[in-house]
Amino acid sequence: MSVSYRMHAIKVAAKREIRSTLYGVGLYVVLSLIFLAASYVFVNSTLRLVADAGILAHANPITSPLFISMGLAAAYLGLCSSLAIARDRDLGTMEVLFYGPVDAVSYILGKYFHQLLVYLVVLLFSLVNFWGVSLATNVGFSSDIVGIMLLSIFLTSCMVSFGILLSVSSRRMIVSVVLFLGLVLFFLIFSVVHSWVMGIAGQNLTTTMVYVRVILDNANQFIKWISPVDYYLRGMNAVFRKDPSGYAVSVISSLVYTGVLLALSVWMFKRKGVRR
Amino acid sequence: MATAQEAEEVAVAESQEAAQGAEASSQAAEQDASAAAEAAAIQSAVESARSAARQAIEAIPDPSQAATQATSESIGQGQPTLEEQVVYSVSAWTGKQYAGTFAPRQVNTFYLMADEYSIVNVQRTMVYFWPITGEYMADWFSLREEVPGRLEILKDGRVIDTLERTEYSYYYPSGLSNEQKLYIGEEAVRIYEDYQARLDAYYDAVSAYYNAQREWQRQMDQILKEVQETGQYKDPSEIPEPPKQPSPPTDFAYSPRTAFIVKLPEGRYQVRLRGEDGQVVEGTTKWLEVFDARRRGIGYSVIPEHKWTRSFQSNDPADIFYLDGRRIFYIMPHYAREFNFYQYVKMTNLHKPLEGEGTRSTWTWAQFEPVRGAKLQVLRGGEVVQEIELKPYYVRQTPGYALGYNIVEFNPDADPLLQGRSPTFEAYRVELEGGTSYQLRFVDEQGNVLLGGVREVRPVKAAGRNVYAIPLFPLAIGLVVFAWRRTKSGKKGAIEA
Repeated sequence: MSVSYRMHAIKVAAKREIRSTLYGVGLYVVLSLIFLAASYVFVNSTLRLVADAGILAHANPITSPLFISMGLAAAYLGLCSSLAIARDRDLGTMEVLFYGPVDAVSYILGKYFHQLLVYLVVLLFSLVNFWGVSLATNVGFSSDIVGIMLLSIFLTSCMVSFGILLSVSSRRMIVSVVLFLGLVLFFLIFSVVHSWVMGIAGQNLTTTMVYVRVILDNANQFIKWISPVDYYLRGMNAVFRKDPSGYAVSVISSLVYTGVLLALSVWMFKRKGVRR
Repeated sequence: MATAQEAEEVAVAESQEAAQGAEASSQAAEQDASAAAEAAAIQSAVESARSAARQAIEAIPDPSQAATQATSESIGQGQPTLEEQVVYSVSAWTGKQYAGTFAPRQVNTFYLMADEYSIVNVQRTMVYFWPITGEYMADWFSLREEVPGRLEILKDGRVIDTLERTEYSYYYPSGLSNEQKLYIGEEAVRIYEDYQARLDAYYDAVSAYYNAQREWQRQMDQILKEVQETGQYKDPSEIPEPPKQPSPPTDFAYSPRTAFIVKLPEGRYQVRLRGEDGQVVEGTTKWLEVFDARRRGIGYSVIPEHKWTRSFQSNDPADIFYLDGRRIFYIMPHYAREFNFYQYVKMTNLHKPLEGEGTRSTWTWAQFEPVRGAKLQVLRGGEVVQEIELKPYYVRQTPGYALGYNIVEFNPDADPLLQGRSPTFEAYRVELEGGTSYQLRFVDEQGNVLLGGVREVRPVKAAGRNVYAIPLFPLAIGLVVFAWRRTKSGKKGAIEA
């Protein structure tokens, strides 16, 4: 299939799907719920601490709720991706589609760009929401937040490609959903536990805790290359350290991750075929 | 003419006077002897104290020895197997002080901070593993022997430097628990000799003081006696001033020792000891990782006035200070550097194999020396609105039953209650109103902003309902879209019908 045909197929598929997403209420409900959860965390963490202590030093307190929102939104879109392909196959839609001018690459990229475009809408809502919250509380809306928001596009790119890979690797919708949610949950929990254990003061830990820390740190050496969350966290650290090269590395590595996962998805898709 | 009785009375009186005179002279002689004995005793006591102080100073262990010396209790428990080893003892600069550790045979790599002096020595001692605390301990008291030779430093397999043992001494300008400085070479000897000379002068002054005190006491006894005998009080000008007790030196210097003084740029090196026979001493080849900071800045130690015991630190230049209303706080600035946690912890804990394990991806800030000679500027809207100087402050407990305290500027001249006391801390006092944002920054004497010394200050507003109302706007837009679609599809259906 020629590149122009492929581009056209990707454009049509992505356009059709994004219209369907934006005309439904699902996305808006999910976003409101995510933002409410983020506000709850924000009020009960930073704002409460400032009120209790009178004075508090913190680098961008809005980044925690922002990270939660971005992470949840990206996970939601990843979940939608993992659902979409498995559902198309499950319902037989995929077979019908492939009788037309659609091939594996245009189909996978159509799904990918659909979710990425939806994320741009999510980003717009996030920008308005967090700008409003920071204005209401005067915590400030620094350039770091814009940097983190831009970075979240790449997190979503990783998350969506991860969802697509899981979706093409399983024939049943329920399997891909469970697999995606399970792995994302595992990555999130691992990331939180790892940060917590690393945050415990280094001296005077019990021997058991030292071994737990060693195991987690070694596991992290592996997980950091497969977890989409870790790509985002590395970029966030670079933003806080005002490290443009670290930021660029995070963006490039996210793109490489996406490319590898999408290529794997296409390869797997071709192997499995379009039939149920 | 005098009668015999009168003559007899005179003779008796004379004999009595003679007897009294003899008794007085005998008492004076006794007193002189006792005074001389007392002075000799004082002299002897002062000399003993002087000698004991000198011995104590010379016996003070090196940081590496102090941190890793096995206690007699631990050696006596569970019969640990002591093994004679050649070890690297390391006193590494942590930013505020030299902390000690040693690398036993089982440890292949040791860590030092880049471009800072560290003390490294190759010694023979008795080592054992203490499983209860999971650390290697050394019995330096039973064996501490320097292995003669020169330290070779290699990079990429090539010898880049060869070090001889050099004299070094630690110096504490304000006492053992405060700032620590390292002097090396002749300067180390000079600083120690200077300290010893002042210590000797102090003991001489102590000796002189006790003599003067004894003399003063004698004079006072005499005056008291005269007053008791005559019933006449003395004029205050006749009463001698008591001698003033001399003060010991407030600084402290270690007796100079010899070791290898290592100062290297960041990198991975190998070290080994080449013995006097020209051969590399067995067990002395080790890796040396010299690490540098990832970031540097000015750390703020902040003491909130309303919770002065709950101070906190802000080392990361990205930190923002959030205020809840009008606040007064005190800032103590210091230079800070961010290091890899693993390397920083390993540097001073080589003898504890588990310490720092699993932290290679973690970073930590370390405090260095306080910032001196700087001014704190407060900016509002980019304009400097206040310049604050470093001042001493005193925390005064509120009298009475109510718990509380006041932080007052330490000025003994203005406040007699502060005379004879020392300030609790020295800091920059910042008083900011809530309602507007500020910027704090430290500038040097030339007005240059210190790297990493800027912090933004923002007052936060109470959360209110808006924080929960704002997130509902996507839902509102969704409902509008849904209603619009319904209306549109309704119209379409009507046209089709």
